[in-house]
Amino acid sequence: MKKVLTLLLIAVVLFSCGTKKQKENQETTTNKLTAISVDKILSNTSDYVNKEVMVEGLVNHVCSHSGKRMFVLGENPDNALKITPNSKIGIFEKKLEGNIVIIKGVLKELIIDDEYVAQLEQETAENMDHEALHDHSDGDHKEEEEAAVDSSRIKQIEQMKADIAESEKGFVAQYWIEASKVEIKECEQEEAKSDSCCDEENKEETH
Amino acid sequence: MSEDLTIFGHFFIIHFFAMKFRKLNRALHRDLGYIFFAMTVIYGLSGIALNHINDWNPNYVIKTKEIQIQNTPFNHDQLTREKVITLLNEYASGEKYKNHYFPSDDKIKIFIKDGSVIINTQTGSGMIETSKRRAIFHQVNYLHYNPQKWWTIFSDIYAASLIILAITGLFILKGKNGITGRGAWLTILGILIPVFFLLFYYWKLF
Repeated sequence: MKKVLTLLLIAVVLFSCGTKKQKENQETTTNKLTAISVDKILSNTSDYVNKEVMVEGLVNHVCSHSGKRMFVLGENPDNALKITPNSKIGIFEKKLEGNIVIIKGVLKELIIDDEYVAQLEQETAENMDHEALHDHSDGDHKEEEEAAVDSSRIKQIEQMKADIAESEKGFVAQYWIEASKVEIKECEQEEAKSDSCCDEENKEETH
Repeated sequence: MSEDLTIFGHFFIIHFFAMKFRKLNRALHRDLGYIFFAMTVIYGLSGIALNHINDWNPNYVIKTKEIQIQNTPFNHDQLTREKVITLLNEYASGEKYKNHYFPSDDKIKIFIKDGSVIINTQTGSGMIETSKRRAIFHQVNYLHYNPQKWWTIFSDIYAASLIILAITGLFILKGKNGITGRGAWLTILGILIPVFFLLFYYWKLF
């Protein structure tokens, strides 16, 4: 028993080597940021790509199957930004839906061109999952379920092809934030505080 | 006579190390089995849940209910926060208001504590959708999705230990039920099943 426990302890120590340095690097990049709207980020994506940003918006949808994606809306509800959690956050809880949140993270860009779509088609044929296919920003559960169905994926790919064909640049881009921190800013509530949705459980901060 | 002694000596040494190996093997299998009992149950449950991810939602119990709002249509200006809360109390009593917005010209989405209500502001037809965490499965799936770096490290150790458990398991028993007897046939069967799936579906040889 002692031998097994000692082996396990050694394994944990070996795996943990280097994590401290990574944490220090993360902390040094956390400068003072001001929250900007989803609309502003989406209208000036090139200014923010691969940079740390702080964005504010209404959580419209959290994927209930995995919790690995959520969507926040801008002032214009047509502007939806996908948020994925970093390894520190892990997953998003559905109770975030309906809250105004402030998200800190890095804006990521995915360029979708003909080559990418061809690869996507091949991977879809092999039944592989792909990030670009998770774009159910309107929060419709049916759409989320359909994303797993081949025919729906084929439709999405056809739409991507059409978008690329229409694009002057020869590609389209998807943007999302890989979040390192999510904080609930505001939670509207009814008059009676005790009867409110804004209880302590709901005010949880994820980081 | 001396040749017999040498043979006996070799037999004794081999037997001694075989005994030592079996003792260590059993101890390793037993202790890893105890330590990772809970992990095996966690990954077993979440594995079944995720195998059927297209058939059900293992994380949440999602309920829907249709409603019909009277005195429609509404225009957006009429639907103030107070009016929305009044509508909610009237048609979805007990649900606590959180927020709302207008996804399109003819729709309003009202967020409630455990879900949302979508109403067509022109026809009055609406749908309440609520979701509650599914007991046990929500927790095991949370762990299955590798929520934290430390969990990933621990589950990597578990995965490596599973391989050790499998190998040590082969040599627990001696005799006709061991790896030289019945155990060999069962082990071959266990290898052939995934191999057949690969031949049929991955390499498509048949």
